[in-house]
Amino acid sequence: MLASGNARIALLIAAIVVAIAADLRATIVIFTLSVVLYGVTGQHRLLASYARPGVVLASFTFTLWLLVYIDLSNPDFPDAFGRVIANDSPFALILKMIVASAVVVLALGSYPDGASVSVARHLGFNGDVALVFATARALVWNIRENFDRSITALHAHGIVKSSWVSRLSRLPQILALTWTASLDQSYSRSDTKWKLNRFVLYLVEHSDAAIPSERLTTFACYCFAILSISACLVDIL
Amino acid sequence: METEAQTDGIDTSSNLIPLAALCIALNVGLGTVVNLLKAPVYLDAIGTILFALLAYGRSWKGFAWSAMVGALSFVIGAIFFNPVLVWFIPTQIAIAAFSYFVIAPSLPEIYQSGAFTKKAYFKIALLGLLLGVVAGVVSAPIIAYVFGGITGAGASLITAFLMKAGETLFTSVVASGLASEPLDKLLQLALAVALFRITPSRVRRIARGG
Repeated sequence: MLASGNARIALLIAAIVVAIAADLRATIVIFTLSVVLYGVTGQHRLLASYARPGVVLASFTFTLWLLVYIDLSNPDFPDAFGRVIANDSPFALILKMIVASAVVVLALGSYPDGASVSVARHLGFNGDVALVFATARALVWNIRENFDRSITALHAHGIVKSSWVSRLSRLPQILALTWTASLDQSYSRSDTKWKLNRFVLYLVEHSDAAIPSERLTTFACYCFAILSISACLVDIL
Repeated sequence: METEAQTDGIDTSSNLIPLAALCIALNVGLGTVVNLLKAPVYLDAIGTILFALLAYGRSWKGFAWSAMVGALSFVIGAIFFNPVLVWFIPTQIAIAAFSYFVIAPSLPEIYQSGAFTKKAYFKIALLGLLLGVVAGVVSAPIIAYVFGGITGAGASLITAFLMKAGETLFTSVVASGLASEPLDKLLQLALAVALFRITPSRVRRIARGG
């Protein structure tokens, strides 16, 4: 989504309003609108990656609340089900949070990899924070890879076995190897960038105008924010 | 101990960027592995604690960077893996504050070479448990009033069990937090101290602004 920084801020405001004011009916309306917005802005992959944890979380909490509400000595499933999906139930609260989080994710996570610094700056972060955000986002998979490689290396030396118990008991060694390998990679790369070609410095100074915003997605974001806040207001009134 | 020192010709704040990014990636990477296991621990603040220990000595600037590491960890974690994380940013900021203003000054042993004494191990255990209480107290209202008591983490199983046993929502959330958080934070502090000890002295010097 190449929307303007202000449109992303409007989405964040809408998410906060949803989190505070929406009831179950408004949540369902806003959920539908968010799916449409993900589609309009071309964020199908982000929607797919978000849907999985969202569905797992909703199923997990639904099951737990059902277990809490069912009287095991005299089970009444329709009654327990009704209590779980009631308008003011804790499960309705978590559905609202999932929808609000989906809007936050769309505002903060929907841009090409190279645009992290530019987007963070448009959201009002200063230069250092924007750079940390962009670098950390890029490093997450690196750390996960180093974690897996550390397990493989320690396994090859017979220090870690294949079972989860062995991996958990050897967590300090796995972490130590992950950390030293990541530090080594990160500092050698940043040394090269800072000292030899000033590439990062150029990005710091010139990244503001790197990514143009699109009018259609910006307009769609504003529409979504207005409709979501209206849906919440209708509920309140 | 504020310093304006320059390292390798670059402002020291800029030198913190790769370290802060690595600590965020450590939080997100480990936290997600543990969340997938549904274990009653989180391990999602080791990077925040480690960064606070490394940056100690930069006055308020060090705390601000540590808090930023915690906050951005949960923003990025929410984008990639677990959407509920973004609502727990206040907990990460509380962990950064406790680590920077209480743990780092209380543990001068970690900044000296040589083996730990029994007293140092005792202090680490005590501070880890206290950190858990702080995190539990800050998280409890968020879990109870924002999520209705269950967030999908492993500790939610304890909450559900206590509610099933007849406890109120808030009591169950606080009790499950106090049951899981101190152990989790003790483990996290121990791991963060271990990582601090194996961090090269050059990196430690850069982090402290010397």
